[in-house]
Amino acid sequence: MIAGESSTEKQPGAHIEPVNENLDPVTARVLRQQRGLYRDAARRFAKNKLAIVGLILVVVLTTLAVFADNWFIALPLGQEPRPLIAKTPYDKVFYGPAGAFPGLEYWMGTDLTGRDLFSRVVFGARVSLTIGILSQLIALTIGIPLGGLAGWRGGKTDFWIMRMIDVMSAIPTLLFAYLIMARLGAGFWNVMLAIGITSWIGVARLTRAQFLALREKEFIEASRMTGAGTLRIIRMHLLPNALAPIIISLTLGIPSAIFAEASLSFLGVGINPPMPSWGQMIGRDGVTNMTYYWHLAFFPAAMIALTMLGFTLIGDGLRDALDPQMLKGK
Amino acid sequence: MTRYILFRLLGLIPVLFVISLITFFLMHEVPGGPWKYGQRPFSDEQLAALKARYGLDKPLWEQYTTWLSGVIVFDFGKSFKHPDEKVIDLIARTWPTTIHLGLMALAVAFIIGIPLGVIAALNQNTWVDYLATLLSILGFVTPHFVLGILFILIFALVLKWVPTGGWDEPRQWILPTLAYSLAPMATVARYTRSSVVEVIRSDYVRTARAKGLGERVVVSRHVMKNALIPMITVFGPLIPDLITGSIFIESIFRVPGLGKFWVTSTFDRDYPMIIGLTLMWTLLIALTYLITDVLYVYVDPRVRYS
Repeated sequence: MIAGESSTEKQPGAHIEPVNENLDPVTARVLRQQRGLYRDAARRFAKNKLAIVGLILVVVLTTLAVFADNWFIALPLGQEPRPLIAKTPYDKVFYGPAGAFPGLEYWMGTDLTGRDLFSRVVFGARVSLTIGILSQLIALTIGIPLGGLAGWRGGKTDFWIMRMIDVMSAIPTLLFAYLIMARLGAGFWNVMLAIGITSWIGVARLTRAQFLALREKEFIEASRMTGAGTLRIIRMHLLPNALAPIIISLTLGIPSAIFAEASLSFLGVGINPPMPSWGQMIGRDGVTNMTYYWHLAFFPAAMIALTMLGFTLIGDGLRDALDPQMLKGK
Repeated sequence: MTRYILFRLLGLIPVLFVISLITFFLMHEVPGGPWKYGQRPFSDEQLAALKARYGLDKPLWEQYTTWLSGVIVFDFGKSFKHPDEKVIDLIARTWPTTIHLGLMALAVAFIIGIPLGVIAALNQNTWVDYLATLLSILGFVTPHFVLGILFILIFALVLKWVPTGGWDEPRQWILPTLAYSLAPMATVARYTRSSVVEVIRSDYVRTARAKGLGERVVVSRHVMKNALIPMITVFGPLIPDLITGSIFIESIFRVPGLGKFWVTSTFDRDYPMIIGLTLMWTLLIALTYLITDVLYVYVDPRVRYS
């Protein structure tokens, strides 16, 4: 117990020097165990056929989103991005065949202003995925500190944060997001923000529950006795142990966020045209022209379903792989 | 038990109060106002007169207290868009349709979802399980409006079996009910599967098998009885989803229910309607959770609330 000895020489609760971090055998063992958990989980995940299907779907969609055009090269060089996977930029109008049906030239047909639907669907993947992932990150940055604070401090802090969560979870999420969007106005960043601030409750609850359960465990007590400060305990012990459920909730939150974005855009308060979003493509032209130009609604609708399917399968797979309960069961 | 229910109901009041505050100030923050985007623009004097008539010229906190004093006697004010009807009457008139549709969808969800979950659980990790799981995941990941559109395309336009929308005859109920029921069905099936899987592994089921009971008796008498108890909790998460779904299903299938008012009232800045709807829905969700929790005590004697 090198760490224990070094800190008892000083006063208990004193600051631990960074040198000790590498020497601490306790920490080193914890780290190795963690790698074991995640490697085990990865092996279980790889065996899960449905999860692999989901992974493939998401990889394909991410490829579409990232390589729709070469913005990642064009931005630093200051050039106009050129389409890579998409055939044209999403707002390019041909003045050619408007409302053309899917065929060899236009794989998914063209929309009513003569834009290539395939290109717009590909760019829609970028919008959906970016909003899905970033809005969940916003939810994490709100939810983890709040939930952590409630779980760690307990008492009055916990009481008031829980009442806040009660109120937030009583409002139907989409309706609240809709009101926020009406206030902020439609737009890419606003959608992300509205979804982020309406979807942190789950993460906050989870973090709180984990912190509450872990707080009283022996290894936390041991860590405190060796003189670790609150922040160090949270960073080294609480967060890593609470990580698995948070990862699962994050992965399962992404399809809900994508769903929320599509719903808001469908209702006309999400993404502004000409930027394409699948929900918006269905809501604006898709529904009204469904009886004849079926492709306008069909392809974006199928893409939403596929994307949500991919992320849900991965999330389910991760839950099965990371949940320690499953270890006993199988 | 009565004390517990009373305690929960009293706890609802501050929640509803805070939500009404948030909604009230948020909706007044939305740029524009009522009567801005009508077919005929009003003159400034007319606008001022209208605002004075509905009390919109007063400071916000005063408007809020006026509104709140009405709510105490269940008067949510009059809709700006439908001035001859009170908000509460409007809700009372259109809600039955939404509830009717919602109940039909719930019924279909349980009738298909429970067997699907049980079959999946009894054949765990076989192709039957994967197929059932995939089916329920598909229902789970397909947004209502996507499903509604696909259904209209396939069943109304290509196959011409049913009409595309409307709400006058039972034939028109089929598509919206099906499109509406798939998401709750998926949830029901998922819950049922995990619940049955858990019960199958339990000791009393092993005992039942060990004493020589047939598979049918074991499943019907021992597994199902215990596995279906947790199903009551499904109602909790189902109801908010159903409420959100009604917005899309009703607009796609032209159902004259309550759902479409959410979007139109926000679009029209119909303040009394927005806040009335939000509170009604919040109350509905909260009551569903309460009823679920209470029912749970009656079916599962192990649960106690203090």
